[in-house]
Amino acid sequence: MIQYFLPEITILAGILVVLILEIVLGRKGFLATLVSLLFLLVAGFFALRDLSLISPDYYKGLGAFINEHQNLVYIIKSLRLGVVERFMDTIMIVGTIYFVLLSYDYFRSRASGDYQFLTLSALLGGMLLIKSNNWPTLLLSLEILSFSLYALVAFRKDLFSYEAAGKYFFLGALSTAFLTMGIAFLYLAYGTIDFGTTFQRIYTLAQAGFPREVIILSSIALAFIIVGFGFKLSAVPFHFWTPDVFEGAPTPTAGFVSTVSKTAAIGLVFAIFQGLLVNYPALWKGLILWLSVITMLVGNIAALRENSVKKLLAFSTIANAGYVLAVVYAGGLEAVKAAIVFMLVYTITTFGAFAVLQITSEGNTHIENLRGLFQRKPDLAFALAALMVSLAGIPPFAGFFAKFFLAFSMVQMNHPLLAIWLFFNGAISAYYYLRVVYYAFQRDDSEKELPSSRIPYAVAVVSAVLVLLMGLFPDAYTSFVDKVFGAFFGL
Amino acid sequence: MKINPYFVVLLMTVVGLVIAYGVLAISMFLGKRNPYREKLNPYESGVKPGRWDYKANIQYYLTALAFLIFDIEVVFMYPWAVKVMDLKFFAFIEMLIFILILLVGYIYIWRKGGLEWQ
Amino acid sequence: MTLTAVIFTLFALLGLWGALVVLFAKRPVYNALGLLLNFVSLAAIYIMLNAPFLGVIQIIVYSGAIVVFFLFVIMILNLRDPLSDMDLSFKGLVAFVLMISLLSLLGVYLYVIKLPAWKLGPEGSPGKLGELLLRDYLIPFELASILLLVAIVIAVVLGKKGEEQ
Repeated sequence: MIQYFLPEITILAGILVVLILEIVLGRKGFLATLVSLLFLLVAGFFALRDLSLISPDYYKGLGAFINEHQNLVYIIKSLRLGVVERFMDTIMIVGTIYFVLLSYDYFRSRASGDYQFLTLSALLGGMLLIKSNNWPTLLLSLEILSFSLYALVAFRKDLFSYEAAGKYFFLGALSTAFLTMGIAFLYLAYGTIDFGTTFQRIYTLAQAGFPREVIILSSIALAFIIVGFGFKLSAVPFHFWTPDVFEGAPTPTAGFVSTVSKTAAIGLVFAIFQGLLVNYPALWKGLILWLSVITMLVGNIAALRENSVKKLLAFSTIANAGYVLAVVYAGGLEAVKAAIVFMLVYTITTFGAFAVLQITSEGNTHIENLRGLFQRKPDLAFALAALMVSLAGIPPFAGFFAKFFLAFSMVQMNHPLLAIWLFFNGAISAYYYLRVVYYAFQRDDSEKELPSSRIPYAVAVVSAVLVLLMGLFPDAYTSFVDKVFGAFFGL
Repeated sequence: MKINPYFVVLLMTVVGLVIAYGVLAISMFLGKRNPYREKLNPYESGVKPGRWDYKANIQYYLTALAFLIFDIEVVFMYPWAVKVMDLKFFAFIEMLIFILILLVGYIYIWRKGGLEWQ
Repeated sequence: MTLTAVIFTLFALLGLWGALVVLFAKRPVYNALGLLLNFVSLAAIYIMLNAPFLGVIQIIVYSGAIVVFFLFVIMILNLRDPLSDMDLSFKGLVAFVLMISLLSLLGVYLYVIKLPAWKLGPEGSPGKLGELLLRDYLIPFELASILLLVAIVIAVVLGKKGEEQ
């Protein structure tokens, strides 16, 4: 039993250990960071081990165990295990490792037990969110994730950070209220809060034809649920909080919201639309399509005129959410694989960019502030260039392949127009990404000194190298994804 | 005759209202009135009422929040207490985990001085 | 109209009144008391819906603790002055119209369709609830404790002054 849930259990243990550390030893930033990293690495190892062990028979042992212990069957009814979820876990763990490293540079001794606690609980919330198999689990893990994030945004404890956290909290609470309302309507339509039972009822109804009241109730429910999810994803009509929160939040936290929280949201959207409601495409297909099309366009257009690098990355987050939503619409196994690869590359690239931002733009995120980066720290300027070019989706960097896989999976599912729209948007985005690079390579005659922070420096350079390597040898990781999926589905 | 179990609740509410308002009404109709200035003050002793002009201590906030959290913890114990005999050891373990997790939080508040009044 | 329907209508209207007081009252303390009215009516409705335990919890936690908490916050912020008027700018008006149309659309839809009649089960009784919480929904049950732990840490991290460097 336990061996199937090792990553979650590790993170749960980590949560308690870092908090006890804070209780016993008080404020010890370095030690807490180390402990937190240790737990993250162990959890990451377990997740990868899970993935490499997977075979069609992998979960048979679990079934046998549960037959002996009837009470535990409800654990599986609340948490769904599978290969997609494990991949998303791994990506979120990678993002959290980045976050912990950058946070230590940012907060030093204040990144102690309680800070690490909030970090790990956010991760745990995300990991359980994508696995949740009934609405109570989903809501509670969503709240664990969200509340930890609100506190992390407010953690700098100055006015900007409080303002950002306040906005995030009010809008987040509102979106959760919408989501809950939607769940209530869905319950009214199907009479159950279990995903499994809902899935079966939808399946049965899909054969016989949906009664009118179920159609109406489901549509109302979905309208509300999409508001809730759209907020988490920062999909376009619900994206207004993103730039403001990014601007006010500590830089590592902005990175966390933009990657880990987004990965969780993507996993959730996949689980709901390509899992729970997959037999009822008429309900959500159109909505998701328009959401994704508009999200891409608005995110990219808004970024064009943006002068704050942090806000620019916020709009880039929005646009990228649109790209992945498009494959949620397209569906298919290739789409899931493409989304996994995309989120991994996106996490590495975005966090690398935030690491550069942490060095160059503390207190002033204006794009002019990047001037002279090349003449002061040429290697950092090159790292930034590599990351931005990768985000723009230009070969030979990993971002290109990630976007290419997305488009490829769309074409496979007969949505070539969507793929063209994706590349069109990628072309728009190239302008503002390259604008950042342009400023970084400008001369600057002032006597400004860059802070010598070793951690973000190393993180940025390592990410840039990774992005280049992953672009040059995409087979190295895509073949692993292929292999695991093949093994899981017994292909 | 089958009586709705909540009929008692309704009865209770009605009786309570009747007694409360009845007493007031009785003293209103039967009592003698002899108002003078001191008597008309809201409080006959203590602080003179006036413009409400003080800020409550931020400490209230933390204490109230801590109370709220443990209040909710206790709420979860009621259904558990009803069913613990049926579910036996399993439910016991579950509640143990539940309380242990929150115990860490309790010690945390304690150590951080959240329960102390400055 | 049965007695149940009368009582339900009564409490529904009371709850609505409370909600409107929350929205429109100008003095923060009145807003909090409107919330109290709303919570209490909701508790009555829970009891009518065969969930007595939830109703009692609603009274204890929401009407008791949370409203008191709101009042504390109002006192901490020292909100004596009346709140400002409703936002009657173009944006506010658009939001208002959208809100009303959403509500009326929902109302019409729900009035027109025949709602599926799910039988009220014994799920609301403490015993059945305990069984569901401890067996069927044991993961959400444990998650609730983690959520409460997160809430504790956030309260201390953000609410506690001092000991900054």
